[in-house]
Amino acid sequence: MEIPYTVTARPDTGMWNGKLGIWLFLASEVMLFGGFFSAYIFLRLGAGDAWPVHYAETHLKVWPGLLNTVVLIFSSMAMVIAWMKLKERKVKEFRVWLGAVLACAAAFMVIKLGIEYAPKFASGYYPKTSPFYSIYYTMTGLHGLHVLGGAIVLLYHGLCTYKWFPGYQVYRANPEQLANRVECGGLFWHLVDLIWIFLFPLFYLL
Amino acid sequence: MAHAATDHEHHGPSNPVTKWMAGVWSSWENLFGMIGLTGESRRVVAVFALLMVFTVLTWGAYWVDTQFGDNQVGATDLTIGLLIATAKATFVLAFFMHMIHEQRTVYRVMLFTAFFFVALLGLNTCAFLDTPPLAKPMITDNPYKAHEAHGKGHGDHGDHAAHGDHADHGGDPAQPHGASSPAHADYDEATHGGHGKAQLSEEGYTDKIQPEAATADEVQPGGIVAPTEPAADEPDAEESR
Repeated sequence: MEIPYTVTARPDTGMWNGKLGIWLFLASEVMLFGGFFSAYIFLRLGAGDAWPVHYAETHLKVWPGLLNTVVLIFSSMAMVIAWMKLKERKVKEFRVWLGAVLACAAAFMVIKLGIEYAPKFASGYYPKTSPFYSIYYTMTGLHGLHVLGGAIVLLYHGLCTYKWFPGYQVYRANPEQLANRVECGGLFWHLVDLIWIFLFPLFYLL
Repeated sequence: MAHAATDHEHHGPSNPVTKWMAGVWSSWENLFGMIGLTGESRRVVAVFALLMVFTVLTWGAYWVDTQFGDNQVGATDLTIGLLIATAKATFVLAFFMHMIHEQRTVYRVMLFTAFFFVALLGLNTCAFLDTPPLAKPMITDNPYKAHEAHGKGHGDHGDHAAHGDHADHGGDPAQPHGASSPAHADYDEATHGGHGKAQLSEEGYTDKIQPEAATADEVQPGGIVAPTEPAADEPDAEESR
């Protein structure tokens, strides 16, 4: 039995089912992070002038955050191009561009964990240290988990183009369906980038 | 006009600036062709370049503020930062997520989400800003003088008898608050402005508020003041409770 509307559009929504599903999921993710942004606003307004702003108080260097921003935006661009190549059935180029996305994800995690988190933990700055650090670790940590999860999903879809991988069945039977799955993963990836676009100025610059 | 167009086709652009721009564009086209980017991919790369420009603008605004501005986060800094972030988010949504080509169903879903997102942030912020700040004790260099000033000013209140046991401890700042904990004394201080109540223990007082005399060593990140250790000759706060 074949699942309907995995490639063809539904007559009522005008799109295939997975696309509507991923947009609804993204809506829930927006509300999830909206709650955290609301908590951030509460904490910052409540602290007033006591909210740490400068490096001496926050111990947040700007350059790792800036580098992470560049990395994620580049990965978003690479994600779009990878999806385009898969739609054009240029599998090798799809693998190259998807590899670039995964490399950017790895770079992001290395910068986040190795350059930002590790020195702070070594210096004794934990989530329990202050409200600033608790919201910082919570929001950036949750965002990092989203990066990790998105990278795992994209890796799976990238491996589906290899014959030795069990998921190759989808690509062999219906390449358009795999392209649609990659598009869903790509939409999630762009949302992760979107969230970081707002996290970076809130914590590092403002 | 056709003759001029023919001239242009045969001899190319005559303006040196236009010539230079055509050369740059053909170089980019060669580069894009070398790495396999054609058509729609080039628009994606152009959007990426624009996002990089916005990122540099964001950092630039921060750098200018730190170097030449007041180095404080004000309404202007917040507005500029969030405006640039919103512009970047718009381009990512429109071109990377293909919102400009999507169905109406997606627009309805996103509109619904945006409404509740704005409501979540906006209503909470408005509620917070509408809440009056909690009453705080007057902060001076000598907390005991501040306490005495409050006690003299509110000595005629009718409910003073309810706090009659306070008078027994009137002269000794180190004496604990009768049988009550220092937390009770703080409640009186915060809500009733101190109706001639007993003196607060030094440990309970400094634990609750941030005195102006706090040094940089005492202030931890986030504005939290580390509780001061009681001196060796003072009664232990835990034992007195």
